[in-house]
Amino acid sequence: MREIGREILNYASRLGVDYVDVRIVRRQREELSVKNGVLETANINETYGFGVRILYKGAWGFASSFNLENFKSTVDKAFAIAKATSSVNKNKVSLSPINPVKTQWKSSYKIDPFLIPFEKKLNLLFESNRIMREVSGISIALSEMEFFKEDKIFLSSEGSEIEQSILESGAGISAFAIEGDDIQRRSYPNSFGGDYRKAGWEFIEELNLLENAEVIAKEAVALLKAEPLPEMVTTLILDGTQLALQVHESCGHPTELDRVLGTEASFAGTSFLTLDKRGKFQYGSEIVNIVADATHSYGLGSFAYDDEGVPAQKSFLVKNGLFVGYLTSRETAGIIGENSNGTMRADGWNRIPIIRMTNINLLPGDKSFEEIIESTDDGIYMSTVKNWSIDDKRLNFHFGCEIAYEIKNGKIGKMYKNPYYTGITYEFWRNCDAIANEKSWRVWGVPNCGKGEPIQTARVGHGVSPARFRRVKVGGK
Amino acid sequence: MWGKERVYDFLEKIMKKIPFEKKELVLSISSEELTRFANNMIHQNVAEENLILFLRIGEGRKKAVASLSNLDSESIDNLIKILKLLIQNQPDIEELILPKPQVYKEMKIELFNPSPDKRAEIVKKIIKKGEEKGVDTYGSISESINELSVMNSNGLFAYGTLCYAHGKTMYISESSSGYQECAGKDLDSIDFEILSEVALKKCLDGKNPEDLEPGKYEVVLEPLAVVELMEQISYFGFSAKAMQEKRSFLSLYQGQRIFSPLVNIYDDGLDEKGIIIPFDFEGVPKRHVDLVKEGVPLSPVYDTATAIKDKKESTGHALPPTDSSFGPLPSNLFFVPGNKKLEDLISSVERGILVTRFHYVNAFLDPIKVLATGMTRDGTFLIEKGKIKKPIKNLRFTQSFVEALGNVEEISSEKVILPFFGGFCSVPGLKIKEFNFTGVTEF
Repeated sequence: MREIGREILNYASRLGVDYVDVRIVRRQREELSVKNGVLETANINETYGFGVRILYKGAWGFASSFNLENFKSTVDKAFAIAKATSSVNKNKVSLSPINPVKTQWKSSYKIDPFLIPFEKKLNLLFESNRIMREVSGISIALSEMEFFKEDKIFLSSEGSEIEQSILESGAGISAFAIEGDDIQRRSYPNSFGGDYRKAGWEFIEELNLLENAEVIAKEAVALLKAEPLPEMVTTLILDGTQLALQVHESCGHPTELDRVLGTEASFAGTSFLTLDKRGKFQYGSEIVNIVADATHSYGLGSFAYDDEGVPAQKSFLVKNGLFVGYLTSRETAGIIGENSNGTMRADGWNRIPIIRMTNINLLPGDKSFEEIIESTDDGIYMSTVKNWSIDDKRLNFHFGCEIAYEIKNGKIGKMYKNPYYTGITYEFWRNCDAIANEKSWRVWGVPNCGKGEPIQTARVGHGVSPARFRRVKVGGK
Repeated sequence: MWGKERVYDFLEKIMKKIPFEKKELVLSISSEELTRFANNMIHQNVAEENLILFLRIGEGRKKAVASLSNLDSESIDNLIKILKLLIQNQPDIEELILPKPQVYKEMKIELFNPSPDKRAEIVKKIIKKGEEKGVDTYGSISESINELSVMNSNGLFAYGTLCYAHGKTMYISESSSGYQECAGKDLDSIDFEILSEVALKKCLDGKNPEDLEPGKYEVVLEPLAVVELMEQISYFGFSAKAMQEKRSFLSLYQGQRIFSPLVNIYDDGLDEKGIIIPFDFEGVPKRHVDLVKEGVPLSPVYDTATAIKDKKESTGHALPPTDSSFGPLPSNLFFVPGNKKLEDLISSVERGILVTRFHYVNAFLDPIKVLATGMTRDGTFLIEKGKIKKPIKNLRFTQSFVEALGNVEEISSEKVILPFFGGFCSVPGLKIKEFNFTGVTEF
C-alpha cells in the first residue's frame, strides 16, 4: 500500500495543486445470520481501492477508483473536478494547520474473529436461534454476527504517512411475536444487529447470547398481552441502549460543524446549535456532561488519526449542561478560528471524508441505577431502540422503544407495549436529574449512522449509563 | 464502460474457475459523479469508479455469498477457499435455486459522459437566482452510469446499462427554506430552471412561519412527500418476504379494498415513462406487477426464493446478493396520477395543510399498519378556503400510512420521478383527509 500510495501522491503533487491527500483502503467484512433455523446470510466481502482529494486554487476535487494500476486517470479526474469547482466559487477553502506525522496504529483485540472456525460461529447462531424458537408464540427468531476489518494508509502533500488497522466485532439476537396486526419484538443486547466493539471474538463470548435468548423471547410473547402505554407527562428513565440513540440524534448530529455551517442542509439538515449559542446556551441540566472521545479503548468511533491525519482527541461538547464545543474538520475549524479536533472519516476508499461522530459519550453520574429506580415514586422505564425520528435542526424528536415498565414507589412493575416518548431536545436534557454511575456505563456500538451524499455509513460509539428525565410526554399507540 | 463482450469473457473465465455445484456471478461497474453546493458555493465535488463482483454459490442444501472489488487471481482464489470452508461448516438446510436462462426485451438506453463542467454551469445559474432574491443556495447534482451483468450455472447471461441524473435545489432565508428535487434520464431531461424557480418561491413565501396547533387536518402532500410515504409502504408491505413472514399488511388484507378506490400502484422496470432497469440482480427480466388496483392491494414483488415458496414466478425484483436475505423490493414504482392539477387539489381544501416534503420518516413503530412518524420541512403552509393562507412552522405527524392511503380523496396530474431503493418511483401529489399531526417544532 505504502509504495503505490507514494506514487499516487507524487503524481498528484506535480499537478501544481495547493494540497493533496491520498487514502488507500482495504475492507473485509463477514456477515452471518440465522433466521428461523435457516442460514440466511453467509456473506464474505472484500473491497480495495483508493481516493484522492485535491485542493486547487482553494477549491475541492475528489475522485476514487478500484483500479490502482490506472491511478493517473483518477488523479486527473480529481484535478479536473477541482478546476470546475474553482470556476464557481468566490471564496477559497483554507485548512487549519496540523503537524504531519509518519506512524502506524492497530486497534486492540485478543482473538481474531476471522480465524475462528465457521462451525463455532454458526453453532452459536443456530443454538441461540433454537432457544428463541422453542418459546411458544415466537414467529420470527433472528441471530446475527458481523466482523469488520479495515487496513488503510493516509498520505498527504504536507508529509503525513499514517497506516491504521481496525478490527471490530458485533452480534445480537431478536425475537418477534406476531398476532394479527400486532407485531412485538425484543432484542438483546440491542436491536438492529446487537452491540459492536473494537474487539475480537472475546467480545462475542462476553455477550452471553445463549443465556439471554429465552428471556427476550418470553418478553416478546408477553408484550402481545400487555397494554399500550397510556399517554401522559411523567418521569422517564431510559436504559443505555435507548439513551445511546438519544445522545446520537440530539447531541451528536447537531454538534457536527458541517451541519451547523449548512453543508448538509439540502440532505440531512442543519442544527439548532448555531455559532452564536456556543458557550452561552444551556443545553442540559448541570449534571449533563457530553464528550467526543476518539481515544476510548473499544468504541467504534475510536482511532489514532482521522482521515485528514489529525490525531484522535477527547473534547467537551456539553460541560455542566452548557453547550461548549463542536465536532470539526480542518476546513470547518479554520472558519471558527480553531484547529480541527479530528472527526473526519470516510466510508471506505470511494467516499470523501466528512465530519462524523467519534464516541459521543454522556459521562456517568454519581448514583447507582438501582438508587435511581428506588428514588422514583412514579414514572416509566423504557428499553431498547424501536423507532426514531428528529427534525432537520435536531429539536423535535420522537423515539419508540421495544418495552416499557411502570415504576411505582421505587419499584419496577407492570409491562407496557408500544412505548414512545417525544419532546424538544434542550427541554428534555434540561430535565435530566439523575445519571447512573460508572458501574452501568458502557460504550454502545452503532455501525449504521447515515450521512452525506452519496450516503456514507459510519461506525460510531456512544458511552452512556441509564438516566432519568422529568416531565416527559410519553405514550403508546 | 467494459461493454457486453468484455464482461461476458470475464465472467465466463471466473465461472470456469469456481468449483461449486451451483454458481451465480453478478458484476456491477459504475461511474458516479456528484456536485454538492451550499452557502452559494460548491463545497463537495466528487467522482467514483466502482466495481463489485458478487459470487453466490450453492452445494446441495448449503449456500453462501461473497463479494469483492479486487479482481486479481490471488484475491479470487482466496475467496473461493473461504467459501469452501463456509459451505463445509454449515448444516444442510436450504437449497440455492437459480433462475433459468431468460429472454430480454431490447431496450434503448442513451449513455452519456458525466461532466463536472456542465454541472458547474448549472450550479452557477441556480446560485444566481438566489443571489438576486437575497437568499442562500444549496443542493446537489449527480450523474450516474452503470453496467450490470449476471451469469449463472444454468446458462443465464444478462447484460444491461442504467444511466440517470438527479438534481436537488434548495434556498434558505433567515426564517424559511424551499426545496425541489427530480431524477431524469440525464441532466438535460431535468428542468433546473423550474426546479429552482419553485424552490425559490417556496422559500420566499415561507418567510416568518406561524404556529399551528397539531391535530387532524386535511393535507395536500406534494410528490416529494408522497415518495416518502411510498418508501415506507413498499419497505414494510410490498416485499413477498415480509408477506410470507406475516409482517406486511398484505398478509392480512391481500385482495381487500383497504385503500381509496382512486389508488392504483404498479411496478414496471421496462416502462419508458420511468428510468429503465431491464432486469434484477438474479438476471430475471422486470415484470409489470399491479401492486394496488382501485384501492385493492393485489400482490407483492418476488425474487426467485420467495416465488418458489408461493409457487409463483419471480417478478424480477431481487436485490444484490449480499442484501438478498432482506427479500425483494419494488424498484420502479408508479403511483398512477389523477386528472386534476395540484392547484385544484389545494382549492378544494376548506382548512388544511400543504406539505412540500417530509423528513426522517420511520415506521418501525408498527410495521404492519406502517404507523410512521416524521416531520414536515422546506415549505409547510396553511390552506384556508382553497387558498394558501400563510406559512406555518414544521409539524410532526404520527400516522398509519395504510390508513392514509385509505383516506386519499384526490390525486394530482403532476408527477415527479425520484430515486427509490436503488431504483425509481414516479409519484403524484395527494389530497388526504384526517392526517394526524402530533407535535410542533420551533421553525
